[in-house]
Amino acid sequence: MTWRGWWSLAIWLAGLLVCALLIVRTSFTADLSAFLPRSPSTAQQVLVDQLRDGVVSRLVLVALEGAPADALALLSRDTASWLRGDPLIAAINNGESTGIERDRAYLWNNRYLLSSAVTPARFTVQGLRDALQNDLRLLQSPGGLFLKRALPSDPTAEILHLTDQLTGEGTGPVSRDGVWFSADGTRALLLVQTAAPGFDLDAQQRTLDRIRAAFDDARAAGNASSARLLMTGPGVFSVQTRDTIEADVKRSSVLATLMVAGLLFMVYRSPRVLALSLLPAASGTLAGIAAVSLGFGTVHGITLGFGVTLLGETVDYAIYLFTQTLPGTPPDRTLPRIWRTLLLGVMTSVVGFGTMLFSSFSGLAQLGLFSITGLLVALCVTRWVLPTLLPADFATERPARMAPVLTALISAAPALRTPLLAVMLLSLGWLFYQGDAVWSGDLSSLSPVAQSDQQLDERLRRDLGAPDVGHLLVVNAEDRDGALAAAEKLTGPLEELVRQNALDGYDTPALYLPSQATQRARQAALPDPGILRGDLAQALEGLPFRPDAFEPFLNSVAKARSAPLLDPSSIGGTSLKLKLDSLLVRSGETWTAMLPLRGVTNPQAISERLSQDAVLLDLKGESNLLYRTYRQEALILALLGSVAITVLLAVGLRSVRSVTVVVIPLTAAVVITMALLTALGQQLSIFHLVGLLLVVGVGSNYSLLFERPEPSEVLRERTVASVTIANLCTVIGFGILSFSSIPVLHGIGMTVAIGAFLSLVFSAVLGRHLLEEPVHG
Amino acid sequence: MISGNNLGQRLASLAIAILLCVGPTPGLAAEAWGLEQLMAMFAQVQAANARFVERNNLSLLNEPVETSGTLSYVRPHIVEKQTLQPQREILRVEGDRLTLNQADGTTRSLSVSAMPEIEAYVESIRATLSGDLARLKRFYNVALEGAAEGWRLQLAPLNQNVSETVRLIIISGSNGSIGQVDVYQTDGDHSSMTIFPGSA
Repeated sequence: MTWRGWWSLAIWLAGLLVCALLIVRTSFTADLSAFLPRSPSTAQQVLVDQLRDGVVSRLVLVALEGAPADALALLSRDTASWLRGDPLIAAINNGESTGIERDRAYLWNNRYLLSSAVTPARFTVQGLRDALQNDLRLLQSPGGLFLKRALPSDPTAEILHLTDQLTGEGTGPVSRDGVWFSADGTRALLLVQTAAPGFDLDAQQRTLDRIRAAFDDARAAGNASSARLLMTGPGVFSVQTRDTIEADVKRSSVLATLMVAGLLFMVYRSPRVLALSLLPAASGTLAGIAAVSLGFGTVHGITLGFGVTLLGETVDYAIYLFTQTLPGTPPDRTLPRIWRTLLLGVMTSVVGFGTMLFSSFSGLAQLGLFSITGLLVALCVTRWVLPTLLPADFATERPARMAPVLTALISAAPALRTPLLAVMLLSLGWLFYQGDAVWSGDLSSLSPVAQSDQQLDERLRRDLGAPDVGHLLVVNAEDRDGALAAAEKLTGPLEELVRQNALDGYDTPALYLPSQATQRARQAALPDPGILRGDLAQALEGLPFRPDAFEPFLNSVAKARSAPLLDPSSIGGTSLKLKLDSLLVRSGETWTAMLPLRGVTNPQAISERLSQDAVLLDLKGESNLLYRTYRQEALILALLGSVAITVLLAVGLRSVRSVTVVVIPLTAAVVITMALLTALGQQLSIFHLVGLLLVVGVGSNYSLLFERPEPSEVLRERTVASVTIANLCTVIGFGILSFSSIPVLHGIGMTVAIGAFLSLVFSAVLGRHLLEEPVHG
Repeated sequence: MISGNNLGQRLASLAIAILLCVGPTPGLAAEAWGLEQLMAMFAQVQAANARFVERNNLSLLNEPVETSGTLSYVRPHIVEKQTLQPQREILRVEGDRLTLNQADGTTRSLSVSAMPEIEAYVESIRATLSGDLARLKRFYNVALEGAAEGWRLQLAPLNQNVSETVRLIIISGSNGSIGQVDVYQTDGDHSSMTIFPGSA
């Protein structure tokens, strides 16, 4: 080994060591929101925060099925009682009155602080008389049942007012034997709020395990061995997705590695060379992880999964080196021969992936950094380390044997030019005809959640009567009380808008916990006990009520006047706390109050009326807009990338003709791949774009190598062989990925497998060099 | 929500009103008279209308309250009580949904199954009207006394929450017709409803 070889080895090993040290200290996250955009507007920040760790992200929808209703009801009670009080579970609700009793107590005991109907006018002689006459009517009506027991303590019917407001249009799920059931009675339903935020996947996982264990215990204790547990919700999906991605990436990479290794072994017939061929990719992966860890602080699990597949290209480098090494020539002489071409190929990939660095998706930016670092390191390892490690007399015979066949095939390829032109025109026509429909405009297209799981989630949400929120009013303030006060300011205009039929109704955190100022005002509206007693007696004159019937009312008011004001701790232990926590959240230094709107028919009117005080957020529309913005950005980046690649090729090849010959097959491959994918029913997402970038990166290598003038026929045969083997490896790797159940992996896998194969074929069909010097025989 | 005393008595009255509409059933007098026979008779009702007069003795008030109106039933799950005097109000149960339209125009709606007290009342009607004795027995301890010519059906709530408000419901009638429903509430209040067959 040469002195220089030793140096290369030493530097390489030292580099690996540094990377390993960095990686050991790296934290890996599986927070899917890294693949959500960094948000530009306040409204969108609220959206992303909610998806990350809002109460919405902490909900687990649980269904028990597969047993008779009686058994399921019992199972629901037992499971819930196992879970109540568990530190991992913030709240669990299955329709049992366990929590409702506390809710009722909170509302009943604090009715004079909570009810918006408490005003000074309500407790005058006239106000009381109106209320009593109303009570009398209620007693005579079937509605009397609602009031009779509460009446002596609450003649002004504050509790009725509160219940009406709380119930709204929400009807809740149906019950059987006191627990929630689906309408058809086949599933018992539970709603769990996890203590851990939605993005803390390890804690989510532990919580889900806890729920499963509780179910198993309950099932074992009861007599319902046939019962099954179903869970959905953001946390469930995140954990599942992480597991599926991990399993898919692991399975795909093992399968792909085995198949690629098998192929390479067939070609090289040497385990040592086989191991060496994977060395650049392995080194690149380590360096990529280390670079992302340095650049971003953490490495996303998905970056790792995708990144490794993107580095599949680096296996090609070793293949070029090995296959092109002629018998009798030292391997370290091979590379200088193809170095320029290889370098140019790598640079095109680097430029392609470089555009991802500018993406607002931190996940994509990570991917960009990862692949660029990986590619460059893999190239260096191929250039300076691999030749040193190869046996001195290394050469491959096999490709020499299969090369003539391939060469013959490829020389015949130009005959396909006319059909290719036709297909190209057809594809362009198809894409043009499809227009914008080619692109998925839905954020959910990024969702790694399988269709069937999304459907189950929708079904359970319907069963639970918890439809997705459509519109949200958002107000911010410096502290909690400020946010509550700001929410209270919206009540008047909102009531007006409800009367104008702009919406059906709304929910507000101030309903569960009014601001301190409002509570004080309500307390001040309650009269002195002596005055109230006199006024009540006057109001009762001429009415058929027993004179002493309302003693409890006088006591309640006297108590409420001096009661301590409510704060967040007062509502603790009730299910209303859940509601409050979901509507009143702290984001950084500010507090945000959210008012979900029901049945919005005129968003325009609402946002015009309230534009001064609040932001109206159309959740579905906003998230899709957000997504389209990012898709637009990705598209622009991809186009800029293509321009940069073309410029790079022009500089590298210094010939318009050569550039044309390299670029045209790539363009054809990209266009026809897009047409094929959409014709197969896929809507293209950002991740397909990433796939297309990869096609350009890999495909440019093929056309560059084909375009390169070869000094001899033997060398050209070897070029053809090496490109074909490299292509096979890529198609195998990504083809396997396309079997993934994760839509994103499936999309990238299909795009690259199809695109890479087409690139090779089109390079052969359109290659100038092969046409000009056809090989006969 | 709050309590359900009056609903119980009213819905029970409604049940009775509907039972009255069945009219005389031939051929039963000679057989052994029992719950099964009574229920089998009720199960044949498809739709019915009746008038009612109800008298409530409430401890809150100095004097009894009297209301009157109409009752109707459509098999299998719609029951409606229209109070006409002293003010117009409609209580309607359809499936799992209970809707109350009050004189002042407000409408309230709730899920029957979410409230065990109310469910007990509603199910007592439905179970009776459909002649489903087994279901009736899930909510009440059922006892029949007397003979075909003069019988008393006693329903004592099984559920603790229900029995906190309603102590006993007594339905009385002769042969296939019911004349009166008495609801005795746990707090001492008592209501009595008299039912007249035929629409108002």
